[in-house]
Amino acid sequence: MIKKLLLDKPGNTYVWLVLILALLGTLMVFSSSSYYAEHFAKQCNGDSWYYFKRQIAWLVIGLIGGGGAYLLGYRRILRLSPYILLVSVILLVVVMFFKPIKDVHRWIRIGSISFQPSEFAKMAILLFMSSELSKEFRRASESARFISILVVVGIVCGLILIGPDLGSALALGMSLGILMYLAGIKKSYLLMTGIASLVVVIIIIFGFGYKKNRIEGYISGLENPLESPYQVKQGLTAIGSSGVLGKGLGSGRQKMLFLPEPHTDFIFANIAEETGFLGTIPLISVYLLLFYIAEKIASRCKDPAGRLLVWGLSVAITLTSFINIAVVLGILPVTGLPLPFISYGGSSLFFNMVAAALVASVAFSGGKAFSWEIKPIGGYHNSRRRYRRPSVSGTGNRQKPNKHIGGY
Amino acid sequence: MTKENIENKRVSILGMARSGMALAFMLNNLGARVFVSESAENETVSKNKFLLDEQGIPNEIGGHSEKILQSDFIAISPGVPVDIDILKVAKNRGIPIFSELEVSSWFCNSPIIAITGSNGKTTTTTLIGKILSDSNIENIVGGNIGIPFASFIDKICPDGYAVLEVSSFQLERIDRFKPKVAVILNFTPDHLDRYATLDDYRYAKARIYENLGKGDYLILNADDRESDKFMPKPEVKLLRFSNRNNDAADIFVKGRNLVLKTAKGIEPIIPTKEIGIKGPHNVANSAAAVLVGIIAGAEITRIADSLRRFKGVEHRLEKVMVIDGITYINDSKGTNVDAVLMALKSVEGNVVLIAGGKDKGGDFTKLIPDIKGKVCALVLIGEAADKISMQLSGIVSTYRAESMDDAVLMAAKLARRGETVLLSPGCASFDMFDNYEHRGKVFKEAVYHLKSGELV
Repeated sequence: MIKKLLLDKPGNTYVWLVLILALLGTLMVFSSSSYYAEHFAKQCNGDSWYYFKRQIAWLVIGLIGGGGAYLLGYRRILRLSPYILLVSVILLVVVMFFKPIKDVHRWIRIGSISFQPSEFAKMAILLFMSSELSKEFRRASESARFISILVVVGIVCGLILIGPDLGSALALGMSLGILMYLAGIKKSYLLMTGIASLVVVIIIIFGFGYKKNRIEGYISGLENPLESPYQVKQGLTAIGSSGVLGKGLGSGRQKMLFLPEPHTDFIFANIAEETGFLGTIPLISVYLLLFYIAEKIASRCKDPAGRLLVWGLSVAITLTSFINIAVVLGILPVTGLPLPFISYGGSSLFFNMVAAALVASVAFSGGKAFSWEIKPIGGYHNSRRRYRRPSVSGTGNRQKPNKHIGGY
Repeated sequence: MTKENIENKRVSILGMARSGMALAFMLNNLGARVFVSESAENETVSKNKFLLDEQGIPNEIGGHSEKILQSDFIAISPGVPVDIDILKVAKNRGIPIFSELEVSSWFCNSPIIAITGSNGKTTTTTLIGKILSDSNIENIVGGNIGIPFASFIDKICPDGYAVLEVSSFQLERIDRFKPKVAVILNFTPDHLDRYATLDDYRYAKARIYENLGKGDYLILNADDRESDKFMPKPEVKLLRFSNRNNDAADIFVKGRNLVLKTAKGIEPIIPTKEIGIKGPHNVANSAAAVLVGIIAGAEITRIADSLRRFKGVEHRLEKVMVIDGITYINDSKGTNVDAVLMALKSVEGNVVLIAGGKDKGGDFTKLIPDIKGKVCALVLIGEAADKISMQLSGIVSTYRAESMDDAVLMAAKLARRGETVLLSPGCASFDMFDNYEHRGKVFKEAVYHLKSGELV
């Protein structure tokens, strides 16, 4: 019964779940950010609604963007994917020339609006890869094509990496790896690519010492939670003090002083503190459910590109959410990935809404663009002549009219 | 290359078996300058050589000489390995190499229905032929089974369909081969003796739809996750079948019925119990055949009738006879481990299994869960016997037989009333027999002799 409710129209279910998540997200953004906005954040001028208002605004923009993507349809967007990717790469380069915020080149700032090109690039490369990988690799000579795709992926991940944003680059790389596996790329190729990327990451961390302190903090945190990095420690305190039912919406303590920027990457800690075990379990379940439904949508989709797109987007969303939660729980080193649909952050929310719209577009196209009618080949097979049975006149043994089967 | 410009082209044909011969005669009739080469030297070959000599077609036997290279293209028969030295030389010199399937398809004016897959090809191909014939749709069934494609090019009218069973080996060497309907029944590890990895095998199979375009159909198995990796061009119409309650498919099982998804909803076709060929894999094969039937313009009620009447193919789970309450089943066509698995699943009650032959690199340990409690004894024949007994040691009591007669006699003694003796070798036949048909015949003869008391 529940299964039927969820899976009869998986596209609808997916959209509803995403909307619920996003609305609850804005609520949690308000709850977690109001104190911070009122007392600490300079740009807010003491307005405790500051982040909430902006998040609502982004949600509306996200809905408009998603609606646009849905109306355009994923096939048209896929066709545009090389150009979208080109624009996103240019933006990734442009962002390098903007004044760094918190020491990282991650935002393009125009007036009071900041935009995160890496979120755009994630979407762009997933679109591009879905469209490219759906053109099958078949012959050995096509290894050249595979390498050229890898180069494109390398450029995008590399640009995000020198942002620097190791977490996003890794999450994206992993999503793309899973996508390539699902697309049936030769396992030997994948293995080589995987090993090569691993080597690059290890060199970056240990060779250049990038974020080495985070890794070290992570390891010492695993040994003794009291020695975790500050944010993680405060997050764990928030979660640990919540109990089964939580402290009640808006009554979290950690957000007031201890948890830095509680509305962005560490919002899960605040959710846990205020809603407790009974709040976080359904939240995690919703993410799993989204993945499950997306899988169903993909398996029903007959268009390889659409299937890969749904797989890619849902893997990226699920991976990001689980890495984020794992970071808050101190299981993974601090990375700076937002919690999809929930964390404060316009770019992330916007592109996640667009991603959801694309998934819905694939789900609903099942009945339209890729619905086939089985039309018998060559009409002559339907000519009455071929079906005439030897009938005896007067027995009423007439031939049945030929039935067409239509509408797939 | 078309019918018009094949004249006076020099063609070398490798392999002098059925399909090689058919191709030679066809091209010769079209005015090409044919040269046939065969590496083996035996009775069949010399008989065929005589036929070629009679027609004045130059040929050689007992080895491939450099003469092959003096040609505009080379056509190879299915049995010829693609990695032999002379073909490497030809490749280096830039001489195109095509399979018999490819070359024949150039001259075929009628739409082609091509069926491939790891298991169930023959059954499904035959069933499709049956469905079309029952609906008065002209067709000729051939390819890997029965008559070679090349031999009926001039016999088929442009209205009819060429229903072809094609193997991955033939697909490896295609270029423009373009079926109207391509079916990939399933995809499980097989022929790993010839393909380095599963990916390579999949790429070979995927070539069946390489040239498909607008208005062509690809039919895939919705239950097979590997099938998701087959990616035709978006304009190809994709249909999927399932033998479970999988509504992602266009035809699937709902409750007791095989049903078809249509614009109006779900339309039942036939209760699965009434399908003439038994076992869940055959429901899938039937489902695929139904889709092809509909595409070709057959009526659903007629298709259902055909499904009821069609009882299967020789050497494919073929019931030979019942002696003293013991059923003897010939599944000589089960030349890989998955086929054995399917066979075990479709036979009811306990089984004495006869297996073995020429090893194809299959993993028999896969059978363990199905052997336990089902197979009460295992009789092994052929080269692979030692390997199989090693892989299944301790699971079931194994016996070694030197010949098919020996194996049947042994199995007859091991089986009790109500049980089944099943020949499902899971291996190729070439160590003891000419081909799987030969093996099946020998098995059946042994069973007949057992009945008449000649076998002691």
